[in-house]
Amino acid sequence: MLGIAALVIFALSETLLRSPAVNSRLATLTMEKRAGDRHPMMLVIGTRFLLPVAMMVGVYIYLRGHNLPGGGFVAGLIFAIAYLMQYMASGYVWSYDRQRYEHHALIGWGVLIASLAGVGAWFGGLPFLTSGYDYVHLWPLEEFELATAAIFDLGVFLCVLGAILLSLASLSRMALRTGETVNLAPFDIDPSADATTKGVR
Amino acid sequence: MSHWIIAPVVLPAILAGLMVMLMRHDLGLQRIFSVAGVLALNAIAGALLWAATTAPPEAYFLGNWPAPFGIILVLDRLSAMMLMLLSALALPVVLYAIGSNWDARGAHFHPLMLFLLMGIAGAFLTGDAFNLFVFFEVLLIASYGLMIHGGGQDRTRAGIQYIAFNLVGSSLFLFALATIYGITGTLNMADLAVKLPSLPESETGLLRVAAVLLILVFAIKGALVPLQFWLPGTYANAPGVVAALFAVMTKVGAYAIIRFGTLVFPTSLAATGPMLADLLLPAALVTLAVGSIGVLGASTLPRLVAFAAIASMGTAFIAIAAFTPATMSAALYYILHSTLATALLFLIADMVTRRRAHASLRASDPPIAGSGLVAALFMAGAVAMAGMPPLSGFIGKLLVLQAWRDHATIIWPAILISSFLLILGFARAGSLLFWKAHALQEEGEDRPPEPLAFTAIGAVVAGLVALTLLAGPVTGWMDATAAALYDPLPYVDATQLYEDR
Repeated sequence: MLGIAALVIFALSETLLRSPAVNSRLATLTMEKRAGDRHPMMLVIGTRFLLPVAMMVGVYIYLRGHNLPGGGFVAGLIFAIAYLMQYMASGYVWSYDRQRYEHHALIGWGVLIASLAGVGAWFGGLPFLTSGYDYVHLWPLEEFELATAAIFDLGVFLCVLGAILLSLASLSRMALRTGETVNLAPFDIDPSADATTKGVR
Repeated sequence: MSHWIIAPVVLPAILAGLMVMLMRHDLGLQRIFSVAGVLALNAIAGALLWAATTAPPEAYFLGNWPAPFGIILVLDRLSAMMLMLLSALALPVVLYAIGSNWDARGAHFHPLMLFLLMGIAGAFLTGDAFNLFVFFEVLLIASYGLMIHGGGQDRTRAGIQYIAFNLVGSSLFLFALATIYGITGTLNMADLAVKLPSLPESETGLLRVAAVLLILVFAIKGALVPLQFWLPGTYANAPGVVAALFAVMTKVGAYAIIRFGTLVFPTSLAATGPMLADLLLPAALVTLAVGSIGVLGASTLPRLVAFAAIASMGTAFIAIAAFTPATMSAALYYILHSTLATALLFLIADMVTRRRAHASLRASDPPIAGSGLVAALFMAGAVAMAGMPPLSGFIGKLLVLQAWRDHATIIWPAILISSFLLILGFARAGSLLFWKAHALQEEGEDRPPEPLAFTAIGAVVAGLVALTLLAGPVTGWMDATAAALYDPLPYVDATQLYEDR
C-alpha cells in the first residue's frame, strides 16, 4: 500500500510544473555554467557495464525478498539507481529517448498488478492478499518456493520504479525550462568523430 | 466472510491505476469511470451499512493472518456510517468537478480523488493503529496533489504550508505509535482495548504521553484550536470542489478521536481516565469561538466558509468531549450534518468565486450570472450551517444542547452566541454578494449555465433536507451506534483475538 502512496508524489511536481507562476519564476533562474566534460567518456562506459549488473542485483534482491530482506520495494530502488546512473552519465534527454515505456504506465501497471494479485485470493475463497505458495522443482536449480505474494511484490516494484523515474523526469523538466542545454550524443567528446573536431564544443 | 469490506479500498485503487495507465489523455473516459466508480462505492457503502446495522461488527483478515499479527479491517456501525457519508459526498463532488470543468485544470484530478477516497475509506475501516497511520499517509499524499490542483501562486504557497504542517503531524503520529507499541507490544486497536486496563502502574505515565500525542495528531486533522492554523489557508486556497471533499477529511480526525476515546482510551481506563475529555472540551470551546469570530472577520468567501467549518468542528468536538452514549449520538448526527453543510458552502463559494473572478467580499462587482439561484442555495447553506430551522443544523445543535443540559452554564451560551455570530457573518456576506451587487448594476455578465454543477449542489441540499426529514430514524440509529461504541465486546470478539486462548 505504501507503494501506491509513493506514486501520488509525481502528480505533485506535475501539477506544480503546469502552473504559470512556476514558469515565470523558472525563466528568471539562470543555471550555473557547466564544465565542458559533463558527460565524461569513462563514466559513460563504466555505467553502461554497470546497467545490466545493477539490474541483475535488482532481480536477485526481488527474488530473495520473500523470506529474507529485500523484495519489490528495494528492487525498484535498485533498478531506479541503475537508470539514474545512465542519467548522470549521459544526461536525461539521451537516456529518456532510449526508454521504451511510459513512467505513468509503469505506475498504473504496478497498482493494477498489486491490486489484482490481492483480489486473486478471492477466487480461492480467501481474504484479500492471502498468499498461496508451492514448492517447485526446476531442473538445474534446487527446489524453491514460489508464492503468489511475489506477484504483489512485482506490482510494488513497478510502482516504485515508475514513481522514482517520474519524479526525476519532473525535476529534469524543471531544469529544461530554465534553458538548460541538452546533449543528444552519449558523450561530450566522441572519440570516433573526426580528429579535427575533437575536443571542440 | 464477506469480501466486500475491502472493496471500498481496492476499488478506487484499481480504478485509479487503470486511469493512470490507460486513459491518461482522455478526460472524458476518466470522468465516466470516476462517476461509475463513485456510484459503485455508494452501492458498496450502502450494502456495508445494511450489513453493519443488521449484524454484529465483522472483521476482515488481510492475507488471512490472525489478528494481532496481520492487518485487519473492522466494519462496525460507526465505520459503515462514515463510509456512507464519504461516498455520498463524493458523488456530488465528482459531478461538480465535471460540471464546473475543475478536473480539466490540472493533471490527474480523478485518479488523485480516487486515491483520496481510498485513503479515507481505509482510515474509517482499519482496526489497526499503524494501518490507520498508513491510510492517513495515503489520504494526505493524495490531498497534497489535490490541494495544489490547478496551480497558482497562493495555492502553491498554502499547499506547502499544508504539507509542512501535516508532515509534523505524521511524525508525531509515528512517535505516539512507537510509544504505544513499546509499552504494549501491539497496535491492534481491539488488542489494545483488552491489554491497556491491565497495564502495570509503572507504564501509565508513558501511556498518557502517547495518548496525548495521538490526540494532538487527530486534533491537527480535526482542526482543533490551537492546531487549526492550517485549515483556513488550505481550504480557502484549495479548489472549491477539493475543499468540499476535504470537508469529510477533517471528520477523519473526529472519527479517530471517537474511535480511540471509546475503544482504546475509554473514560473507564485508569491510566488516562477523563484526561481526553478534559483536554478536548476547553479546546473545542475555543475552536467554536475562533471559528465564529473568524466568520465575522473573513475577507473572502472561501475563508468565511473555512472558519465556519472550524466552528462546526468545535461544536462536534463539544459533543464528543462528553464521552457518554447520549452525547456521542448527538455528535454523530452533527458530524453528518456539518460535513454536508460545509461541503455545500464550499461548492457555492466556488461557484460565486468563479463567476466574480475573485474571492474577496467587496461590493464593487456587478451581480453574478444566475445570482437568484446561487443566492437561494447560499441561503440554504447558511441556514444549515448557522443552525437555524428548518434544516438539519437546527436539529444537530439542539441535540448537542440537549446532551449538555446538565452543564448548561458555559456550553449553552457558547453554542448559542456562536450561532448568532455565524448568522451575522453569513448575513453580511450574503447581502454584500447578492444584494449590494444589484444596487450597483442590474445586469450581470453572461455565463454559460452549468446544469451539472447546479445539480450537484442541489443533491447536497437534498441530502441536508433528507437528514432533516429523517431525523427521527437517523437519531434512533445513532443512539444504537453510540451504545455499540460503549460496548466494545462485540468489536473485540469480531477480531477473534481471544478465541483460542
